[in-house]
Amino acid sequence: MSYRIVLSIGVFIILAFGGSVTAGDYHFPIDTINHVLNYIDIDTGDIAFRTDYVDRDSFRLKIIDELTQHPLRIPDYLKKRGDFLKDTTISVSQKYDSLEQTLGRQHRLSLLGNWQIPSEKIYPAARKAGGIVGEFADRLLKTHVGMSFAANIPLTEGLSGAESAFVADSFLTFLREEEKDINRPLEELDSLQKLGDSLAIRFKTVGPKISIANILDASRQLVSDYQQLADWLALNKKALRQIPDSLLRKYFPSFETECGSIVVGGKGNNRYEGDYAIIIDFGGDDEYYLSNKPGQRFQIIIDMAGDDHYIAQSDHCFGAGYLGCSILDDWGGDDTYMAKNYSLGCGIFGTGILVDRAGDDTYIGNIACQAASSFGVGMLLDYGGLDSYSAALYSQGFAFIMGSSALVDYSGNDRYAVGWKYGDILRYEDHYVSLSQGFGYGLRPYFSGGVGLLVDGEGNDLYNSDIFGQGASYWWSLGGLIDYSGNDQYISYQYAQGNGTHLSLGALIDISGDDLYNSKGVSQGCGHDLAFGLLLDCAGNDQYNAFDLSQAAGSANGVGMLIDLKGDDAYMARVKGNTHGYGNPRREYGSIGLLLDLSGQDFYRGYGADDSYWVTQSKWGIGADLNSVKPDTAKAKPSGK
Amino acid sequence: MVSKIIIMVLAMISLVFADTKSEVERLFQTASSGEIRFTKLVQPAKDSLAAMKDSAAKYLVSKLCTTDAREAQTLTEVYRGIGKAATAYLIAALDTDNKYQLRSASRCLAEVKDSTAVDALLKAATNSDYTVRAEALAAVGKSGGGATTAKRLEPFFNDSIYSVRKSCVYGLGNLKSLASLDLLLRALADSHFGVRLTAYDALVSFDSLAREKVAALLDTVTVAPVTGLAIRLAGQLRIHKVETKIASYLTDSNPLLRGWAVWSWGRLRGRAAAARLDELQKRESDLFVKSLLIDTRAYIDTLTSHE
Repeated sequence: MSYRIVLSIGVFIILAFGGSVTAGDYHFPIDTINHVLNYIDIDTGDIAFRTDYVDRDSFRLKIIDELTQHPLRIPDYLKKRGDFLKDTTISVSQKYDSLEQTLGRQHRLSLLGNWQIPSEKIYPAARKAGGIVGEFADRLLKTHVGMSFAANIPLTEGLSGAESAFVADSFLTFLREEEKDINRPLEELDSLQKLGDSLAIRFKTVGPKISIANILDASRQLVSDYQQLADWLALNKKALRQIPDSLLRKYFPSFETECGSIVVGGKGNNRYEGDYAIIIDFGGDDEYYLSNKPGQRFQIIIDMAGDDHYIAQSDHCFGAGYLGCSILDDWGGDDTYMAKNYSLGCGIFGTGILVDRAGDDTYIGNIACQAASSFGVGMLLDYGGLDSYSAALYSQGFAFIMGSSALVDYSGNDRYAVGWKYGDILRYEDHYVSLSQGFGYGLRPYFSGGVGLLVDGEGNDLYNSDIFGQGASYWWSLGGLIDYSGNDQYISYQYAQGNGTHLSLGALIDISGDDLYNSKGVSQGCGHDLAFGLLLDCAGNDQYNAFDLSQAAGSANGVGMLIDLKGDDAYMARVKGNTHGYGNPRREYGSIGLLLDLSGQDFYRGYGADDSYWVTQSKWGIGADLNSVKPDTAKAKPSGK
Repeated sequence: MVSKIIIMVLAMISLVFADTKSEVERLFQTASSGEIRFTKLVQPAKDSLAAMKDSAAKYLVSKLCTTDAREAQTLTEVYRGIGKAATAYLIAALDTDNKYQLRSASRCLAEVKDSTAVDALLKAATNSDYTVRAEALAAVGKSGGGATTAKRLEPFFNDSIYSVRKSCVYGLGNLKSLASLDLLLRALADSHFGVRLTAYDALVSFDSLAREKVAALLDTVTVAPVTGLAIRLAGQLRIHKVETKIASYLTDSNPLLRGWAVWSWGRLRGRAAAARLDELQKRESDLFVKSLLIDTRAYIDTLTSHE
């Protein structure tokens, strides 16, 4: 218990006080922003939105409200979160805690101390044998006790049987798409929409009864037990790997518990099929053909070495908590993760964590994979290697209602791709929805969304999405993508690269490297409909390509900012009339667009020009190419109008 | 026999009404469809609904409480097409506690532009929900009624919520009552940019009618941001009587005022401003002012000799 208290206090202190933005290329020039906006009678105090444009639903996150009122705090917030999540000295459980705290959760003390289960039958011979074998058995027992406790926390406390069934059966409808939608007749689409509306209206009543506290209590318990087990295994890895496989088989046969099977695999190549509560594998190139058994809510898998294949046989696999918590930790090797839906670090009414500590890895999934969440936490941590992430939708740092997600890749040249499966039937016949790569998503007009983050440390990375992605958001949520270094390419089509749409907040921050940004529209620092979109690039010679309503465009009373601090950059916009610091009117007043380039010899095709200011003929926008990165002497304040 | 005929007529009438209602339903489903595949069907459906006038207006009222943004937008467009035949139904729809319906009905009335709706809209503008107040006031401004309506609109400028003040200011710009000019000038110093800049646009829409008041403002204003707006207005409204004042700002120490003075100077003096601007350009060091000098010089070059 004291461990958890110390951990909680530690995380709180780090997040609250220790988050001073580190030195380096990162800088958010708040005074310069204020100075430039003043020329069109706007100041930084005007960059704010109300939190009551629509009825407040039960699931609005406090941080969303705070940042909606102060959108210019988003860059420092994301940088602080990114610094914490990519710090390799901070444990998985501490990172989980930071994501959990995003949900506004108050820590509760665990009651594990009072929890007792009959333990005499769990690996008695191994425990009697003593030494490293006995210690290992004790650790497994301890982990099982914690898991058993977590499994007995009533996750749907307060719900009737019918309501529990509704939640379990119907909620995922909100996160489901079908390829055949593209061919459905109008009447069928209309009736499907009405069905969705009726489910949302019912969830309005049922949802608030769900005990997020219980869900997170159960998750926290399992994460804590996992962390202690993983730490112990790491400390004793050498000794453990010296245990002959024959002895492991003798002392640690497959063991059934009320939470599922506990299995220990040796250093050879093993194949696992079915569903398990705990798998500890000591090495070898293993194959995991796992499925999610209904009711099997808690799982820990630790694979200590080898090039492994994880092939999901059902939804909710491999670090996927659905009404539960699941953690997969792979310590090495070039691994392949092939999943279906709601997998690979996905928490829905629970927590899903996937940790891969080394190797060139391939992650493949469909919907809600690779760090995705709702009513819980989804986290994927990849510590290194050249990795490839691909998914269809709602993935790679995606957060839905009451969700907190982060995909963190520490180093390596990585490739992130999402889309190309589910057609964007509203807008295009030949484009696909992505809603991924640091994306926050709420269910308009019913429920606010969560906070979705994609954090990439080092490496030359490629980000590919289509409609909605790359530090973007929709409906009372926050999506953030922060890339620390490398020459990166960002490719998308619409609603991307620092975009907020419909009362939401989106930001893309790239701290260094010569980067390329390509998107057709509503991108590259664009806020649409009382929303905020920011693209901040701190260093490098960058190229920005867009067609229209991009590169610092405010639309429908939104605010869009594109800020580039250093380097010789090129800003290419096909439509001059709604880019490079542009705002358009809606609701009888305008929006705000601000483009700032603070150094270098820059090239513009569109409204902007090197070494100049320009006030666009719009309501209301301005751009400035200043050649002067100056440290701010004080935080800007409204100019006292 | 007579009773049989009456029953038959009633039955036929109810069938016709039932058919009309289902036809409105069918057309509305198509008109509010957002999918790209059905784009070609959308506008004809909206046009058909608009052409149905009274009968569509009557049945579509039940849709005004929608929470769906696309449906709300479709209603606005259809009622715009129906025009004043819809006014009575929309006014009746304002008699509700449902804020979605109040907002949609106000938005539709704003498109209908019928001054007979002003009373009902002003009543809606006292609603406790500020989003309803803002929509209703914007609709008042679009509904017309001139100075009389403007006088009734002005008290709403005291609202604590910026979007309500913004709608009020916007409405006053539409109604163009000279009596509102003082309030609009005051709104240039509002705490919210949306109100300030909407007031600026409203004053621009008054055109020559606002010149005297803006000129007077330039003589009295001391707060830099408002001075900046007043300088811009002087150029935009071509207030030649303040040229001397604007000329004095060409050398002001504040680059914001100096820059906008340059901008206005070009608009006031036209080609005659060129020499002074060229002279200023030689010694100007501030990038903002230099940019506006170049911009204004380019503007002047586009003017023909008689402008």
